[in-house]
Amino acid sequence: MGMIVLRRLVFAIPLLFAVSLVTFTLIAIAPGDAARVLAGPEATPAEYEALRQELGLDDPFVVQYGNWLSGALQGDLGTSIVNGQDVAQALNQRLGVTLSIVIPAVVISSLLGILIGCLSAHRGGWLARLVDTTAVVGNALPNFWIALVLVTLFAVTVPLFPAIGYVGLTDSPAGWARSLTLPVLSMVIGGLAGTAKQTRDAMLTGLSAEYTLAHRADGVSERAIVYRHALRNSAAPIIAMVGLHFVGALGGTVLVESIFGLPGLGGLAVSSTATHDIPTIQGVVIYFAVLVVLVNLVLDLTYRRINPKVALR
Amino acid sequence: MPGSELALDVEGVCIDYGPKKRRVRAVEDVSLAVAAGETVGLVGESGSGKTSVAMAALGLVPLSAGRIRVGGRTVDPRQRGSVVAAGAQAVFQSPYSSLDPALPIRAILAEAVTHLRLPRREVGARVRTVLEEVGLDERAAERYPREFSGGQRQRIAIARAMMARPRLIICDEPTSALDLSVQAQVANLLMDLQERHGMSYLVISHDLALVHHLAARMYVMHRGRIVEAGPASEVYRSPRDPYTRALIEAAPLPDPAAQRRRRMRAAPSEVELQR
Amino acid sequence: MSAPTLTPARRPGLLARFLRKPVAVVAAAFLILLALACVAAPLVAPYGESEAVLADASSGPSAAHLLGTDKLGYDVFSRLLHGGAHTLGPAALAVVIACLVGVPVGMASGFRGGRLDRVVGWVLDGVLSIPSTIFLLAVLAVFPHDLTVAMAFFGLLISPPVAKVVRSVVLGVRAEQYIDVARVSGISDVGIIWHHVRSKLAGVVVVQLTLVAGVSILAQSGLEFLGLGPQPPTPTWGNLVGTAADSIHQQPWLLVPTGGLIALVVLALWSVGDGLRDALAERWQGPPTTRGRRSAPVPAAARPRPVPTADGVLVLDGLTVSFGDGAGRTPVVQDVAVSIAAGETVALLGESGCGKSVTARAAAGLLPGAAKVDAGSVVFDGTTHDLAGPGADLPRGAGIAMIFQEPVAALDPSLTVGAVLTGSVRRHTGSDRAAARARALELLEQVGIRDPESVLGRYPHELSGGMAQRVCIARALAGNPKVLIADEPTTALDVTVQEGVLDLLRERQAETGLGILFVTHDWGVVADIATRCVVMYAGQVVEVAGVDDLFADARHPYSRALMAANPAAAHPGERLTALPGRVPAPSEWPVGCRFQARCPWATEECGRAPIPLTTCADGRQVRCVRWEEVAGAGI
Repeated sequence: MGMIVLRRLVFAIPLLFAVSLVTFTLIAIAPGDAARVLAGPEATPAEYEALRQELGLDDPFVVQYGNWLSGALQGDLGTSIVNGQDVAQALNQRLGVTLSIVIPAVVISSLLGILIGCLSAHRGGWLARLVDTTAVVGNALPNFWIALVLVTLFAVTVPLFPAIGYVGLTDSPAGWARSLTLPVLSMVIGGLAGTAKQTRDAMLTGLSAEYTLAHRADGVSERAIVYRHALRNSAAPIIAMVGLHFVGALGGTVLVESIFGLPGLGGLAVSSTATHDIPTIQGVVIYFAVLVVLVNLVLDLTYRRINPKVALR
Repeated sequence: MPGSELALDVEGVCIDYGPKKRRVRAVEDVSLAVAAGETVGLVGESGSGKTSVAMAALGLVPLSAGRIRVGGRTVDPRQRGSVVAAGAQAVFQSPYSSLDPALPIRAILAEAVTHLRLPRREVGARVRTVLEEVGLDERAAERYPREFSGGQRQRIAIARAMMARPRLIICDEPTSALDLSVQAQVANLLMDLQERHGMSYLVISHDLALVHHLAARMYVMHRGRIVEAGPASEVYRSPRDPYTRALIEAAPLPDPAAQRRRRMRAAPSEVELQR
Repeated sequence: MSAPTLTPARRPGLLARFLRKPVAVVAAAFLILLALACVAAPLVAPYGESEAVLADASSGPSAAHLLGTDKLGYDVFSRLLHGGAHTLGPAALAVVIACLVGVPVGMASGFRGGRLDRVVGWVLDGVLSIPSTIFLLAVLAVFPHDLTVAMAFFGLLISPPVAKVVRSVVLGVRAEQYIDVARVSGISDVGIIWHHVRSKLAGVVVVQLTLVAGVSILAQSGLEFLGLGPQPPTPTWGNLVGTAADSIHQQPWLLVPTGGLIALVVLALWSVGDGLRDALAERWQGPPTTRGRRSAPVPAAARPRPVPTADGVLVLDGLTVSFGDGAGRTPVVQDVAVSIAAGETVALLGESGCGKSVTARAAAGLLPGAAKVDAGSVVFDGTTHDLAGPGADLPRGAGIAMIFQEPVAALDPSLTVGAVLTGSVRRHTGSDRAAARARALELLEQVGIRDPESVLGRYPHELSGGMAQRVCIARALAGNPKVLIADEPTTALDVTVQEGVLDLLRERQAETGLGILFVTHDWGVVADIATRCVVMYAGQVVEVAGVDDLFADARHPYSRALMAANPAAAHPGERLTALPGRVPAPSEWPVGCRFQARCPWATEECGRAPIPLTTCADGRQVRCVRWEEVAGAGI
């Protein structure tokens, strides 16, 4: 088990490296730089130059990247060029908010989606058709639009939940849950039917396999065939799907946090994009990449528990 | 048999598979020859290496050692098309997978003579000729493979091989995906075509009875080596190698009384292949 | 498979085939109209791009403003048309880039395979694990409000799914034998891709194109909505949703046309993609088979029905099975009766397409979902089970067990041999874990496995075919069944392995009095293991006889023809007695004898009416009007 974790992490290093390098390169080739933004339009050329020097922007690209990387490895992601705040600190403060949207959203829509997928693989008929149709429609609806419709229905028309704002868990657990309900719901609605459909498609491969017929011939109940055997054999595609779903949900926080005014990483990313706060946005990219790596690790370990055969290979 | 007359000459061929460090030898020092106009059988069970030999003869698999000559010309797997240029063609096992479902029969047949760069009219004429020869209507040319049954598709595969007027056709399990009744049709067709055109066949099969029926000589392969060779009826009637004997004894006779006698006689199988 | 009656068929072109798909046509018409209206927006839109009528501000749909106005008095309908170009242009760029990158990468990776494929796989997985939205924000932070650059990057980020789909299609094609055939013929890789791979990819790429287009539109309108695209009052679709969001308390209606249009466009794109894919593939795959295929009227069952042997442990009677539903229902098996007595092996013979497997599976109540039992019953151990009724509760596993043609495929890949066997034992005997394990070991020994302890811990992929079949037999025996249904259990095995499996079945039968229904098409296997034979042709039983009788003098011309086609019975080098033609498909079944078209004995009488299954004086059964002449003709 320790070996698996280690191997996964070793494989993750090139990914993190590549992501950071790409964002860094992007910044290097872009017209204008942080110094221009910081100095403001009225700065004299001399002031601008001084600032450039101070920020290390005169150094060659490799040196700049090396400096950033060695800082990043020690947990120092630089400071915001907008408000001078330490980036890592700002991100850590907001990480909890983002996770408290993403994790419930992914867990709920995955579990519910897998359950509906199994049911529709088991029963077929109208349920299967409904899943197919809603999966397509659900994917076609812009997710920010779903969020807006939820606000209209459950915050404006029937004011059950707040339309905007975040309540800390420690301030009021109930308020915290209420403030997160609509954001999580809007993320679940968009992905639920798609998850169910992908689960069913994966299951149908197993259910049409010869070994399923052999289980039936041996008197295994239909319930056990679907929920035990077919589900276990479809674990690989289903878990891969959950992983991609998580990646999608992380991206979705950008819109959801903006709409619901939540102080998470996604909302921060949007505001720092608007203010060209490059160190901050770079930090968010790295944080998201690390989260993806960790989630994939967890999923990998889950898969090995479900289907020990892979561990033998 | 002087070398120049051989339709196929396989000499000391070795074939290995797998990555460099863990190479597995699939074929070990195999030599066999097919004379002009002759039908030769290559028999073996799964994993015996018989298909690897066929693939190598068709230039689809590189050799680790040895040499393969078709009509006197050495086959070079790196040089695509050297096999057809030397006058050989292939008929594969699966009538479903060996015809591209997306192409009409005309295009499937025409592909076989790409290397000859024939004028369009000549290709059309050959398509009509080969379809007639395998007993299909010439209107079949405009149809797609899905519109034909397994037996008819195998006829089309044979027609395709006939397009380039080959001197040798390598048939890899040509009938094992077919029903017995259709297998007989295809076997008869192969014999008819040989009578008319005089080409050679190398028939690769696990079915001893079929090979015995079609071939004048046969080779038996086991675990990558040739264990027995000789005139087909001799090998079939009085096998010398214990494996060949086991193979022949294991195939039940289509006669209940005879099979019962054989079962009484035989102790538990000699070659109990547990692995 | 349809009939190869070679009448020249008119083949509709791609457009004609596409026009037959109503949903896709409506979607395509909508997209074309919308695209034209967006391009010609300055001409056709009732109001200009920045023409506000403050007097009409915040009004609902009306004759003057089809979709209403926003709080600044902009006409929503006009603004949506004007916005089309802003939103669709960059999204189209993403589509182009995704396909230009994804298709070649997928093709190269699938076609070359090996190391390139592995490296490409890693890179694609890496890119897939980047949350694309956040990356786009980084791009937009560097190139403010430049959606063209952002969407170009987005095209790169969504190319992996395209590449993966293309790769899997190419990998599948590469494994086909026609690729080997083309390589033998000296066709270059480029030629192979052009002739053989292109046609399989076309549909897939079209679908991916529309999928990517939809996702790009969604992503881009999201960025616009966040205010990261062109600034308001530029009427991008995302900005229009943003405007609607601003007045969500006053005028929630605005959400409907703005977000609705985006969703409609995406849905329409996907429908067009599906329609095009189907139209592309129909040329060679044939039209969808789900409807319309009317079958010939089913001839009435010919009475009297055979009387099944009274002492059968399992008696299958009057079985009629059909596939499909509604008007397209085709019968595949009609009025079949088979009985199996204790200790006997009944061989079920016939060519493929005669209904052997369907019959065997029906006897265990195991037909696939597409099959429907119209009539038929199984009497097992004195109890009658109606197969046509809902939920025929046959004692599967315990009373009636089954083994299959592909033994490795018949074992669940994620269960060890031990898990399978102990599961079966516990299900059928209710014993505890330890007892079940002991019994599993005993079963493995009984089926001749030498090292049962170690085999217990193995997974199916670690077993050879012969061993896997022995494990399957052990599993079948776990419930102490009275009847074993064996569906071509040795067809996929080598003859030397087959021999062992047949011996094993015989030995188990001698010990337990098991009745076996053995489906096969191999006369040697029949001669070896059968006590009685049931020959099927085109969904009917045509002959029933003891094995010695059948081999000595078959009474049905089909049984004879099938036997004569066996090369083992012929003289080497001579032509085999081939049976001309092929088994008719269910839709081609004639009214009279189904074998008449291939039968040398056929007369006019054979075509008139259904031929009954006659019981001869000696108890044998045959479905032929001239059987006495046939039997007298000698072999």
